[in-house]
Amino acid sequence: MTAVIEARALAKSYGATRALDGVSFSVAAGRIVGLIGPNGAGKTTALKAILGLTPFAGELSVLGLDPRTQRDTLMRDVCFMADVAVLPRWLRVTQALEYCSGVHPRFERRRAEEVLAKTDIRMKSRVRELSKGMVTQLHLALILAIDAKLLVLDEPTLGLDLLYRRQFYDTLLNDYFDKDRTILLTTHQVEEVENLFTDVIFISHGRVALASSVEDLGGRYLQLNVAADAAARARALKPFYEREVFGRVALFFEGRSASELAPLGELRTPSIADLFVAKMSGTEKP
Amino acid sequence: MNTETVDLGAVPLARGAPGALRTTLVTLIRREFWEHAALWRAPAIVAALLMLVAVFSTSIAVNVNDTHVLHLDPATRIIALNMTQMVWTMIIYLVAAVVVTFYTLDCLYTERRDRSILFWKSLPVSDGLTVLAKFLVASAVVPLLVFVLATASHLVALIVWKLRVTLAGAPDLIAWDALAWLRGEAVMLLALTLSSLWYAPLVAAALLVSAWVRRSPVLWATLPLIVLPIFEYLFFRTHYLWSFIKYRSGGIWHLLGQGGHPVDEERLRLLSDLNWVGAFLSPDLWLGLAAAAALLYAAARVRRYRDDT
Repeated sequence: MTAVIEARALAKSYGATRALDGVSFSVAAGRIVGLIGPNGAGKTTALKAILGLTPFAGELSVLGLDPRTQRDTLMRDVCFMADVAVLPRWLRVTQALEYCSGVHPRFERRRAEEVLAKTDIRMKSRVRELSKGMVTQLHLALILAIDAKLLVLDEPTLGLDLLYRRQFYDTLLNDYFDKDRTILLTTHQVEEVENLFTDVIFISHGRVALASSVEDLGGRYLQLNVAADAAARARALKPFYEREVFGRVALFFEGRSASELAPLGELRTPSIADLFVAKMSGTEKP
Repeated sequence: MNTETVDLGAVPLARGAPGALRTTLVTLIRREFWEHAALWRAPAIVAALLMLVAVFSTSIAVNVNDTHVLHLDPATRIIALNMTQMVWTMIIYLVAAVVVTFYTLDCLYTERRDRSILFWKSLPVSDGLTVLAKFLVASAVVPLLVFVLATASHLVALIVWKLRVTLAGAPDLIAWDALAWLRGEAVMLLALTLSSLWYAPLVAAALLVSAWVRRSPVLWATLPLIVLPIFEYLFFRTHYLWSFIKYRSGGIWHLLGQGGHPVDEERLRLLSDLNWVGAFLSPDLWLGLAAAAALLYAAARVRRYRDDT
């Protein structure tokens, strides 16, 4: 299968800051990929490069096109949503539908109206009259009505309360996602959406720290929970990170077999959030 | 190419296929009027006010020379018809020009400031087409609107005035002459077209400033026009820049005069014998249009990668 995104050695600097420092990864069709990294790690820059919003060095192919030179064609199949506040405040709901109908060959107005009918949003309202959560619902309704191959979401639920966040991802998963569509998502609330991801890419200091499918993570990374006094034997097997909680120690291993670790304590597959913290903190002991 | 069948539903039939160039351009232009309602509201309000003046004005305005005015000869009353046509159009045009100036300086700046550019850019509309749509709004759609509004409101005012003449004995200042009226309309349409073409580089420059600057586009657009000529005078004791600015911003009547002289009062009054061919063939006009094209291209390029959201 051809990759939806194929990035090789992406580089981009803002002055002395290297936002992207040789980033390579590939995203296959039908995946939900979490692009995860601390603030200023280069996530948004990577997304901007993919969307042709910023110049960069390196090789990048999105749906077989170069976002630098073929952006106008590319955007027929790519949809994106930056954080909530980008719909202009003067825009009316009906105007948003009218506009998308006019400029997007793959926008199905009726679909957007169906989605909006399930919300409290009134067609006559302007964006400035809607709550933050409703603006996101409106934007999501527009996106759901576009038959795109790749959807890029940059912190789409930032600043929303839990109900709206949950609803957002449920709608996305149930009403939008299918095997022909690919979603690339950045978020700070990793714990909330980690069950959504099929793949994760950790990015740190402009470099890819980890890129893997979620099913492969279980084979590669293991978390061992042991009592603090029994930790010494486990430490001999060289965990790359450990964390102490309530007198028990969680040790994180890469490339160890389960049979090797199981006798030492309680073995489990680390959550993506824990793994992220472990990878980002490196081998330094806390 | 868009070959898929689309359910038109409630969409008006004359719209064409979504995403087709014409549909996209029409949608982009409508969008500008949604955001900047003043583009149509301000000229419409002025047109309405002008009509009100015709309805409610009393004959006080002309009582200075009552006897003289009441016995205007037919030829002068036809000139009065053309004169009111011109005044009508010019007043509405001036108001529209002020609104358009602020519009062009604002449109590509505000979308970056409120970050809505990220929404516009999430849809398949090129930067070139976006900039072109804004240019067309300023240079074609609004002038056309001015023409239509001026014609309609002037006709209404004429009818109202005629009724007042018949019913209330208002002074009969204006004679209706279909041919003269048509000629007046033609002159107004030509003049609007000519000024749109003449001011095209200014519109394009304003769009470039709007796409470029990080803050206060109005200041960035006006300050250099004042400061640079002052520097030129201080350092070189010359006035080339100032003359050039005056020439480019100083309207179309220059072009319409014969032999490069501005139109004199008399000719302006009669609205005849203007040098249309000379004006439309003027090298300065076409150089300006070439500059406008270059500036628009630059504005689209700047918008392509302006990365301050």
